[in-house]
Amino acid sequence: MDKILKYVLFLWLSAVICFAILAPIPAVGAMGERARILYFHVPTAWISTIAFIMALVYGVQYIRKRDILYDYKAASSAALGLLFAILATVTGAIWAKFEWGAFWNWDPRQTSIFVLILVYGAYFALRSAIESEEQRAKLSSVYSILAGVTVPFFIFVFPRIVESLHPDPIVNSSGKIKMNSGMLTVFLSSLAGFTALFIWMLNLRIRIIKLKLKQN
Amino acid sequence: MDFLKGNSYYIVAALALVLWFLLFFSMMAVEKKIKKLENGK
Repeated sequence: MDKILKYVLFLWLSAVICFAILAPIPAVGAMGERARILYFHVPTAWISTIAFIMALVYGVQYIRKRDILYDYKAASSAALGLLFAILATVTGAIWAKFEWGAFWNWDPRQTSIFVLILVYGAYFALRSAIESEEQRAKLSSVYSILAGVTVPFFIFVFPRIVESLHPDPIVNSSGKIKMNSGMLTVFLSSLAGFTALFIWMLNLRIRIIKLKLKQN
Repeated sequence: MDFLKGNSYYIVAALALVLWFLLFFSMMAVEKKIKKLENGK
């Protein structure tokens, strides 16, 4: 059953890739074909947000229960969040080169994700600087809670209160989704596929950590 | 200026699929190894 689900995900994301790159796309404002980036860029940004929030939740659980596994879960989640944030930054920068003429423009969206990458980069610097397992877990859990609190601000608030060249978010300020139904289907399928992929990745990381803890 | 022209769509799709296949099958291999270790083999 477990294996079947994985092969379903395999076929699902393969279909998403084919449709995202090859299916005809309606003219989206002045963007045209470049709008295809949203099938990959938005899901990666979405996953990084979920992962950082999960790191916060695991951090809270460590503080409450003092179970070292929660600290490792928080670190795994933050690591995947960082990976997906970098992917979102890279895909966004490629799009910006063709839309705005330069890879990096210090647009509020670019700035906010860059700050988040630095914040979570510092989380791993902190972890690697402390040798004692308990001390590291305690401090990094507190840090992951503080860092997690800033995530909604950097992702949802800051880019909306400052003038930006970035296209409207998928759900715009009036609460409506301005997208052709075909595009929306591919987009939501991509979002679901990436979310499932993230859950699988996190599950693998946590199981590896459990094995390591069992060995020790 | 657009990034993709003509047949390059198919090339990019093929490259993306190859990358996805590599990621998927390497994750399946890791999964298999973990299962073995979990079962104490």
